[in-house]
Amino acid sequence: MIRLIQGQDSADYPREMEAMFRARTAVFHRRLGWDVTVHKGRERDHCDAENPLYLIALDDVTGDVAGSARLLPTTGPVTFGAGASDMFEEPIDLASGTVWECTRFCIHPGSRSSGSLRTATRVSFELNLAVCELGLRAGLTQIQAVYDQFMVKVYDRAAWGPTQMTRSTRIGKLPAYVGVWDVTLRTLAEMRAASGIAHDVIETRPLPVLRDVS
Amino acid sequence: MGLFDDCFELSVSEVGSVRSTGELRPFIDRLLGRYGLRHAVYLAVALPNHVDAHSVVVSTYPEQWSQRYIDQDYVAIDPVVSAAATNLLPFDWAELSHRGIRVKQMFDEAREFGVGRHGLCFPVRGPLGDNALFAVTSDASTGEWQKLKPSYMRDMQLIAHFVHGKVLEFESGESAPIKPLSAREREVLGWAARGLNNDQIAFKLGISERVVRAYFESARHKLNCVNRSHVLARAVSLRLVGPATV
Repeated sequence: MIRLIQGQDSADYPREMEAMFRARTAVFHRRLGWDVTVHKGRERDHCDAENPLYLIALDDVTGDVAGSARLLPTTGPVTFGAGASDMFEEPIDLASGTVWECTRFCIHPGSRSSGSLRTATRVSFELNLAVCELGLRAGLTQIQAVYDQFMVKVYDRAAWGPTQMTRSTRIGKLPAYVGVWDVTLRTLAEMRAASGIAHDVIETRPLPVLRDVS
Repeated sequence: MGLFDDCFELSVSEVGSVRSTGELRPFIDRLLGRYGLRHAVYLAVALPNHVDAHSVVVSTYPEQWSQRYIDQDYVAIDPVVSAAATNLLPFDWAELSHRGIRVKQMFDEAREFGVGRHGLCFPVRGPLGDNALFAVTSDASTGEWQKLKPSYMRDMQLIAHFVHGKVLEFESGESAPIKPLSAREREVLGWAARGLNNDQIAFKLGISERVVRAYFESARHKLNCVNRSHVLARAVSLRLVGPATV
């Protein structure tokens, strides 16, 4: 199951947020060697202050946090914005209300869940499905994301392969790529067929109760 | 893919007729007719270079309701407004859990004034800390509304940004292009202006058709246009590409 958390509500989900920021340190700082800011073991950047949407993969049985991703519209501040133009062979400069960026997509290392999210493959299926579901909910045409060569296999297995736009000149130990994905009912159907998960993966909850104003 | 595939065939002259905030109203009226919607409202939450963003409202609501909303200062308690300021995802008014007597009173009155049975709100977020909401309402039955809703998403997301882009241009002096076009976006527009379709452009540039669509979509947004013919006309008039000959 995928929990959708809005940045502004993150204080209500300390366990999920803590697990995500620590896993991002393990993946993007330690494993991939990206030039990211780690403070007290937690990787955060300027986009985490922009009230983004977080997708958190939770095990249905154990409740373990097993993966995460972050989404933002490209109309506002983005992860690889103006200051990052020389990090890729071509500048990443897309801006549209119907194209959002998905960043910090990762399977959390060391989350040895014994429940529904037993395998990394299952975690990636659910996260990918959630990105597409969310895209349809928001009326998006495409998703843009930065990924590395290992993720290509993960995306392909989920039947949601990216189309490469450009690659990094310098970013970490391995080349990173920028790609786009289509968001359509058809892509969702293909992903569902590939994963064998036929239902919505994002848990349904009402919007949080708004402040009592009267 | 949606039910309204043909509805968004706005002509360039229709879109081009919007030259002031006041002219957004007739533009939105025409849209409502095409989509079978009851009302629409645009409300700026935060604008750059503009002190009182809440004063920028474009609404098709009955005059009496608009006046009532202002007199009662409902903007201060309206959960749609506060949710739009913080949410990224479009939301159905029915998803909001509203507490408080005044909020309930506001929704009851809105219904009496014929605002519409259902509402869908699209938050807009821009690069300069700007923030707005665009909402549409419908009198469809609940069952019908649930079926129709997904097909409104993409077009309304686009219209929400278009209207906001126009307001930025007219009210904040943030004239388009909001962001400069990238070299790739110019290339794609240039070939499109010469009559090539996306597959042909992809072949010319040695990139995939999906990537061509991404550049085109981004160029469309940056020039604040609503569709292909609009963005091509605008690119030519701004001399971003040569005239659409050859």
